[in-house]
Amino acid sequence: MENLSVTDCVKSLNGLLETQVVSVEGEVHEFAINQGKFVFFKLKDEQSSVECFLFAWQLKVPVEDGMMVRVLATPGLYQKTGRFRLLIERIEPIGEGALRRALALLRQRLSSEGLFEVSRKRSVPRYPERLGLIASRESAAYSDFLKVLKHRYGGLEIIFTHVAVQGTEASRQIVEAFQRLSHLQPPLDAIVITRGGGSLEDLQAFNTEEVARAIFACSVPVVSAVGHERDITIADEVADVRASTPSNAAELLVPDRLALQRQLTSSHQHLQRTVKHRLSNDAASVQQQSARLVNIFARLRLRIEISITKFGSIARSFQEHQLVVMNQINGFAQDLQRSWNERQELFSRKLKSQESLLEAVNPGRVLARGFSIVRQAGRVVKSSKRLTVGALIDVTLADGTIESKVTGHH
Amino acid sequence: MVKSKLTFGAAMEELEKLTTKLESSEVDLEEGLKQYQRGLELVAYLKGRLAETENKVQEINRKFKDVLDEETV
Repeated sequence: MENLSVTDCVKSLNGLLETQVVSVEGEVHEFAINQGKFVFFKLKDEQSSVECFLFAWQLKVPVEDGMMVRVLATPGLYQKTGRFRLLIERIEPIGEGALRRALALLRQRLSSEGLFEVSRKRSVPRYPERLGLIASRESAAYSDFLKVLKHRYGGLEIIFTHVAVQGTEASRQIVEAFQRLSHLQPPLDAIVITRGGGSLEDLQAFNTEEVARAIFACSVPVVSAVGHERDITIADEVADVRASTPSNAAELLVPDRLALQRQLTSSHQHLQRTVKHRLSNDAASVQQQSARLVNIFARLRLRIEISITKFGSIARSFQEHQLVVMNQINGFAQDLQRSWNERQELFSRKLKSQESLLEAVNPGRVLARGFSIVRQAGRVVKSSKRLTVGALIDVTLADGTIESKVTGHH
Repeated sequence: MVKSKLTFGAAMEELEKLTTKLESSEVDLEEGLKQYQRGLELVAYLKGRLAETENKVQEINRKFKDVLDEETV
């Protein structure tokens, strides 16, 4: 027999063990995660115990002590110590109790992260045109959904992706389907994920963290209709809209064509009534306006007539007045002329008598009769006493003036 | 004519807005009659859309772009 080194011994035994993939069910004990990366626990039943190891990223569901699980594992020895352990590839809770417990733990974690926040829930368009559908082609959920959809509404474009809705592949396929549908162009109005009812184990794919995160990350609103009314999965809770059944999903997504037809008929009638009402209102308004116009015109005509009449009478009275004034003016003018003539006659008579009077007192005529006027320095001398001997005087005679000197008084 | 690319939702919304506007008598008669005409077109279009009884289901692969199957249900 060949002698082996310890290392080779461990390697060789591992080589043998690695070919044996086992599926084991048991209860979890001493569950621990080291450095957030490495997971250790023991799987036990009444008589035996085995150590198990896996990486934290392989842990799809929360696991804790006392939980019944089924593992898919490869047996092997730890190189350093040679200790036997199962290298876990997949671990899943089994039995109603374990599943419920795992679900409760996951729900608690996702809730604290805000995945179920009501405030982030989006609403589905009232009249969708393009819908995504994630379901199993063979399921009753698929055909029920399409049947109710067709019954209610038509002309929809449905982009369908077939997935396994239970079993080991389901969760991954659902995630892929969401990623695919979420990025379609033009974008879908909503994505529906559906499957019929089943046991908690059957619905397991809709209770996984990866599906929850795929729904949370989906760029279009998600409508979830998984299981029966009483089964609420995590997918239902993360989705924007939760439908109780596949049929209910169709009801929530599209309006009922009969109701819409009724609504449209009523819209149509309403439109007609509105326009009719509008038209009759407008006609009444035109009638009213024209009546007003006629009225205004009649009033205007009356006013014009009154004005014309008034003007006529004013013109007449003006003419009369003018005549009176003219007569008066003519009268005045005649009076004026008459009195002027009279005055002129009087004046010329007075002038004549003044003339003859003037003629009578003309000093020239007196001088002609032999009188003379004596002036001293231009002033008429009326008394001889005012003149002194030697004074120079002017003596004016009828035909001229002489200068004299006073030589003595008599 | 109502354009075929108009979605049901958009046509419905336009019809609702138009009716409200007509009711408010903000529009003059001529504009109102145009709106009414448009309203009738929309009603006809929407009724036509409602008369569609089929939905088109196109099956696509989760990973690739190819269409696997197409049927009308």
